[in-house]
Amino acid sequence: MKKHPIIKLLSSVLFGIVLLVALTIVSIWGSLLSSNPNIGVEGAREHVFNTWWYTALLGLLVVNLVLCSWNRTVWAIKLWSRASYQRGKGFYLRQKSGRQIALDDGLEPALQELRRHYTTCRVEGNAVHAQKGLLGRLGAPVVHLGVVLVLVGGLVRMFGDHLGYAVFEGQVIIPESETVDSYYVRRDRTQPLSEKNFRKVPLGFQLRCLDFDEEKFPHSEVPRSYTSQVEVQDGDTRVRGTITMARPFNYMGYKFHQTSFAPNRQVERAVVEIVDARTQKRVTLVDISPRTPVAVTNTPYWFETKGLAGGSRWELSQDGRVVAQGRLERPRGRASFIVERLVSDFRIGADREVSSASDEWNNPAVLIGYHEEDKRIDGNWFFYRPEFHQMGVAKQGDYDLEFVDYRSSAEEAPGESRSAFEVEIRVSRKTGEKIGIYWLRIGERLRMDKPYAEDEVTTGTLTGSEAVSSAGTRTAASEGESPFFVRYRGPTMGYDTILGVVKDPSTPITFAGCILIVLGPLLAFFITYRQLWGYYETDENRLYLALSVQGRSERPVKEYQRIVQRLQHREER
Amino acid sequence: MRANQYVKKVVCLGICGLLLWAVCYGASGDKPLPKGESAYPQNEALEQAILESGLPKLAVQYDGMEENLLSYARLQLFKILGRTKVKGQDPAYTILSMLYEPEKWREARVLPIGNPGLYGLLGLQEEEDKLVSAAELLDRVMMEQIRERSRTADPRTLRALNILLNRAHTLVHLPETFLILPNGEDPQGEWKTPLDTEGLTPEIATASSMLNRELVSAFAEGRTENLKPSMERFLATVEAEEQYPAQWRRGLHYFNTRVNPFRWTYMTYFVVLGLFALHLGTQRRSLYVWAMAVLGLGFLIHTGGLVIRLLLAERAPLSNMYESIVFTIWGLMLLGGILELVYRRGFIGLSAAGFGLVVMVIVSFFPIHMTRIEPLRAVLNSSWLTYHVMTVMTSYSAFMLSFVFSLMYLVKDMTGEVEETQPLVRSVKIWQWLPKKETLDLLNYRAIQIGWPLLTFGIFSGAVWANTAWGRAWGWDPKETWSLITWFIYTIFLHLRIRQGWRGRKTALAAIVGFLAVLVTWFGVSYLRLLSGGLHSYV
Repeated sequence: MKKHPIIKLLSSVLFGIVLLVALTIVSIWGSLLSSNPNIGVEGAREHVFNTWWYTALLGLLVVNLVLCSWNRTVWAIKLWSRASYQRGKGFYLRQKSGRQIALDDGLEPALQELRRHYTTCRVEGNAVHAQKGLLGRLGAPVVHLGVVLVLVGGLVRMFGDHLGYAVFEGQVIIPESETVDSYYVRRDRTQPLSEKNFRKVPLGFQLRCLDFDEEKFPHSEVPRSYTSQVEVQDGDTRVRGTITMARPFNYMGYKFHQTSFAPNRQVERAVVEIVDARTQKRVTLVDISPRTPVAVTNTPYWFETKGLAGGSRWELSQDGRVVAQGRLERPRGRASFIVERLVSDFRIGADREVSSASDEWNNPAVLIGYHEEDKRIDGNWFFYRPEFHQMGVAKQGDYDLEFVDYRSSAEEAPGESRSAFEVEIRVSRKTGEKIGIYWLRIGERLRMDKPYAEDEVTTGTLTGSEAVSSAGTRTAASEGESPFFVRYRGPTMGYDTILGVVKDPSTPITFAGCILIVLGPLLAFFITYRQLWGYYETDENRLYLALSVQGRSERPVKEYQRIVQRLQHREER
Repeated sequence: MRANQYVKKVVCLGICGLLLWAVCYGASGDKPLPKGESAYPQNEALEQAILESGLPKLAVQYDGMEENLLSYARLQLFKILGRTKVKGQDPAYTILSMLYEPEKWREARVLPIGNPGLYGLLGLQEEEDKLVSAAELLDRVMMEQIRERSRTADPRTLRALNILLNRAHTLVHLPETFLILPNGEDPQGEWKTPLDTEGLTPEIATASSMLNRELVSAFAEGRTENLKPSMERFLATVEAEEQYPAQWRRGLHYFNTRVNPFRWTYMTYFVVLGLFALHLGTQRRSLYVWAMAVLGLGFLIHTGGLVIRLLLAERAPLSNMYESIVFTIWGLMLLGGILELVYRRGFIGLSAAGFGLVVMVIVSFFPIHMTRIEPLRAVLNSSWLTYHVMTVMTSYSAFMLSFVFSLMYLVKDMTGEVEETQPLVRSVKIWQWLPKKETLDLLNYRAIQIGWPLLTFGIFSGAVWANTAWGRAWGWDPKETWSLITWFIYTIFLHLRIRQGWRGRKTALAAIVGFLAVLVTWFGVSYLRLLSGGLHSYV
């Protein structure tokens, strides 16, 4: 049947090649655009790869592949289902592979031999047709089908992004121990996601970051791993998961993967050490926040503490069951505070240096250094004005400070040094217990004589063995057990984990296509189609055979020669 | 005619000699010293004692890996002096001298100035001396003057100044990086310097102090008799620590550092090249056998080098540009060797060895920080690294072969076919060694038949990996786009050949275009500003 000219064009190999050339040239252009810092990958997508005309080129390629593969597949099915007999002796004599075998027992034993080696073996009278390896002819159609699936997957993806049933390059930023219920996508697709280019979309559930950990190789800035522990809260459902660079977290079709992270000083965090009490060796360090469960690496346990102050209660649980609890131990270091500076009108200059903007007491602030065992751990500015009180937070160990008042003990020249001034500081524990109010001169040290919580440490039980003494020492564990205890190490930096959000229904389609694209060449290169014709000349008792092989493979030829030899030897016997 | 032949032979010998010089020069690693070189602290007897004591094998933690003292020394010497060894001294001795004779090195003019613009900044007479000392640079008065003068300096000079200051800082702070004591309290953490024994067992602390004392006395007084015993005692104590690298690992690392298998690889390929060339010239079968045997040997050495890197790094040796190039050449030699065994034409082995030799010599000039075994960064920490990169690199090996065959085809095409290959003594045309054009055309096709499915799988595995790590299988990243462009080009090639009957010059040109796309995908995206960017930029 004659093909319509348009169908003939669309199904021609040359047309397909022209399309591939066009796609190559356009893709080169798109790549140059994506490397332009003013355009970027997002711009290149919107100007080239996601445009209607690029899609149209791909669509034409799909049509070309379908039509071309249809022809070949239909033909292959016809080959399989129909036999092609050759009856004339002349045919066999003309073939290079043509052979004659004398048969005295008739055709049937020879047919049995052929059936052992060929998939189909059809007989009509004295004519025989056998074939094998038809899958090899389907190699190209399989590849084409794979490409079609990949392109269809791409279309699904593209329309999903536009129509909103799929999500690409979404993002969530979650401070440790905090929860979010929505993610962000770009409003303008030609620009990257930023503070000025975003749109908020609800997740439909809550996502909490329990812990983020960046581990570097020792004595190196090279990161070994980035790990986020997250928890989904969906009604009564709680699902926990760990996200690394090699392992995203999936929930309800959403995929969360580790994109980046950022430090966050507002997050209250501390480091505790899990120590094997028998060997006295550290099991792991764990960063914790109050009331946030964290998985303990290399153990099946989850750790949670009610607070970060010394004496705060902690629990170890496994599968939701509390297996041990106790109070946070602190090192025996004594805390002290030193009033270091006082300024009357707090200002941070362009060089990040603090100074006084004027001699007026517009915004008084005092710098207090926090020390443990006379080693300065940190320093914070505390503000007299109530609206700035919350800025002097963190890293005062177990204490909260408040700048209550100030006074001059002598006449002082105007300026920032204020060395003759005194400041009134209120000190309380983070657990809420008030300690006292003190007037301190600039440079004076306030030492906390009562080490925290020694009397607050109570007995707890670890798995199988351990008892915690009130002085914070440990009794020796019994033999055969492996107890451990928890030691507070100090405050640490908090982080925001930045997770990419994706919801891509096209992934299975795309990967199925990729598998076919890989499978197709294997079929084409390793399975060889061959046909064998036979004709039994009854008068001569002679079987004529000839072989046709697609390609240059020698294996089918050798197999054919073995068959011929076997038939010949059988007759000799 | 005879004069012509002589000229041709001389030219050939000259080319071979040049190659040989490049091979040996790259192998030596010793660069000429700048003019005005000051005397480095040196003591040959002490150097010998250090080598005999086993100190070069001492494990040192550096930048995330457990190096040995020799490799640590080369890395630090390169950072400080711009080269990996000094004046024929063993690097291990030099670095210990820097650690235990710090004042001498601070005062010695050893830091190369490099940029001519720095003379003005440093207040030195131009061409007076090409070296400056750390003490001069870090002198307070000098720093103030440098700060003043640098206000008007051009960016290039400022960059050079930064480099020079970094060299001085590295030298001065060298002891802080000499981490030889495993941290018992934190097995995953940073090691400690010899004198930082807090928290260690008394045995280790004592052994470390003793070793340190012996080194001090060796450099100060030249007393070396206790160096070896103290080193042995130190090893005996630290080897008990769980995180201290096992003896076989230390030995393997030292062997790799000292011997550098890849240097022997390209020297072997040089011999293979010569043997195949002689075989083609004389048509002697015995030379062919020898060539194949040496090719096999070279391939084994090459494989051994990769296996060593795999064992030491505990991951596939495919994580940076150097490793990818070395692996690709390994693939080239593997495929070239197989094709040579199948077709037995000699020129396949010749071309593979020649191409492999040139590339391996080039990478031998890479600076040491590009060739060291690095820890695997988090973003590459996936088993897909092996599947994806290995298949892509092997496909590049196949395309390299096709490129070589295509070039040969074009040479043959331009110079005309001859009926038989003549032995060297009669032939005056070197390209007569090349086989028939049909053979080259077929081999070109075969190479692409091997490369195309590998590239396809490589792109697929990359998409799977990207889907896991970045949340999307395909993002039109420049690397991804160019790999697709390469795939398009070779797909076009296959269709033109199989369905349109293209042969000969057209397919040779198409294969060359395809290989150019491979080069852009491999190197252009990483290094050319015109094409760079995207998530693959670390390779």
